[in-house]
Amino acid sequence: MFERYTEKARRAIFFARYEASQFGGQFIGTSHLLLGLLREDRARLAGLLRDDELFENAAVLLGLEASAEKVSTSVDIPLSHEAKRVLTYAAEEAERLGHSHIGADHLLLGLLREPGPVRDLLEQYGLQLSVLREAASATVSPLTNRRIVADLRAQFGIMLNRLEPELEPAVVYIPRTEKAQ
Amino acid sequence: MTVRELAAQIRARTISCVELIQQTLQDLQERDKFCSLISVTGEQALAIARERDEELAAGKDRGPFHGIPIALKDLFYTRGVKTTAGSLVYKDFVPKYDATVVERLHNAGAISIGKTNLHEIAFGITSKNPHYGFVLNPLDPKRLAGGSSGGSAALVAGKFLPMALGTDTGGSIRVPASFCGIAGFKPTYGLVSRHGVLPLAFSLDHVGPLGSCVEDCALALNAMAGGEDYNVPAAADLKGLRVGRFFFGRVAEDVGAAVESALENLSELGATVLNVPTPDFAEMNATARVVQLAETAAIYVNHTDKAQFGDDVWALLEQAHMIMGHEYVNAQRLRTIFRQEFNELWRSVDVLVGPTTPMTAPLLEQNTVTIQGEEENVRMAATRLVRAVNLLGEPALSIPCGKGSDGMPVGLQLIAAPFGEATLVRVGKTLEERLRG
Repeated sequence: MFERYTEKARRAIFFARYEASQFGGQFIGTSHLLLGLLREDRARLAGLLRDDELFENAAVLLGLEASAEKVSTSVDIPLSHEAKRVLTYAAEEAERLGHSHIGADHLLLGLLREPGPVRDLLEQYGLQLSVLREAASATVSPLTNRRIVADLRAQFGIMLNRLEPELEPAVVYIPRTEKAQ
Repeated sequence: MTVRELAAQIRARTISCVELIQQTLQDLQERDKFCSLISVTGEQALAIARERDEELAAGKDRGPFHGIPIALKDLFYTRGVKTTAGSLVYKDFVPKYDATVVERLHNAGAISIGKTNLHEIAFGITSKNPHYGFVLNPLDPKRLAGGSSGGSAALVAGKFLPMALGTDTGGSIRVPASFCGIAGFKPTYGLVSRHGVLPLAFSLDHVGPLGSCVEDCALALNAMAGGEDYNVPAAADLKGLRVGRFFFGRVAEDVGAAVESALENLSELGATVLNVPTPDFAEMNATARVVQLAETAAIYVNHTDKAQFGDDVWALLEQAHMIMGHEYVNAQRLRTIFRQEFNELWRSVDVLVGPTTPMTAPLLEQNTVTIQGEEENVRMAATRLVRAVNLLGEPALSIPCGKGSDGMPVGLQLIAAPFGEATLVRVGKTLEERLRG
């Protein structure tokens, strides 16, 4: 399931599982995913969030309470429905940006698309879906470029049947210079 | 203030050319928080202003632009002044001569105070320049000024000066004019010299003015193109004028409403508004994109260092290199067909009227806009109604026509047959007067 995930994204999910076990959760929820991301990708997130408070107090802010009954790390903890949706959104975001991998940024985008306390908290700390999308799309992959040109080619191709063999190109030649260069 | 108003003050000696330039420079220093300029040529401007004052004292009057401060998009060659194109590629480029239009405006008495910021190499419409800063919209600095002539638009919209020079390859004069609520004029292809203007796409590049009103643009055209007086007066009515309401498809509701209201005004002025079938703008846009990508690729073929470019421009250059020879030639053949279709269209209408951009100025961080429920890329949306005109070469004028629900201006685009500049000025001024009430 996680073969397209970057090392960072995998580790974030690993930490999310750990957080779920610490808080005695039966499921890995979106809150745990956020805690995992905060732990794994601190440098990146520090540049995006309004201040550092979230790193220290995220669990409290999310209303998570440490449980006396920690779930053993050997027990398989399933993802909650919301968390599953977040992973689906993450894959969609990667797809949309033309990225072949799913990284921590895509997970964060996924969290911002799932309504709930985690999204509210992230927005409160200055993260907006549109802004993050832009940041994530700053580098356009060769795959995206190929797709854009393929789309253009498809649109353009439909018109080619209008070209009679004898039709000549519009050769625009209006002298550019008014004086010798 | 407009060119005419400033010119009147200079003639009345209520302000000297030197004082006007000093005032403009100080104003820029105090108020320009919009990242409008890449370089300011204050001392040079003051030296010229002194000459202009001496000339006036000696009875030599160069006309309406005598002593008027203007600015030049940093794509125009200026002798001895660096011309960066908003890029790292040209960051140290100092031309040995002035572009022909720069020389002409100078001869007409205009005084350039500097070179304006733009979308990197003029290839884009956001003017979010990664090397020289993001140009902000003076009407709301959280929003795009548009581009690529963003800095020129910001200076006019910010009321620093009445006219600045821009270029338009796929909407780069009209889009920022629309977003900033000013007038922007793209003249007929070839009417204004492109000598000494860094090219982006040879057969689509146009030089034109951005002005505080239609008259400012018309006066600038007189200075830049010469040969004809484009500054025709507004008409009492527009009886006999055939206005084609070009089908503009998906536009934001508030933009559509403002444009409909402008059309009603035209109709009340006596014009006949016709629903004419216009050739498909989407098809022409696709054709224009093929032409532009191929021509830009030709110019930047040797620039292979990704680090020299912003991400968005680099992506476009990569796309540009994928266009094949036969595609470029076939795009030019399609251009022949569109030309013929438009020649036919101009037999039944005098001007085509529609929105300039389907939305008002987006927020800086917006990558996409949602128009009538459909999400699209900001660049593609902003150029959807203007790009095709560059493929044809027809003259087009954008003027403000009311406000959107966000309080930002809505741009109205008027298109005429080749060399129909005077028609656009007449209709533009008449409508402008009426909309101002």
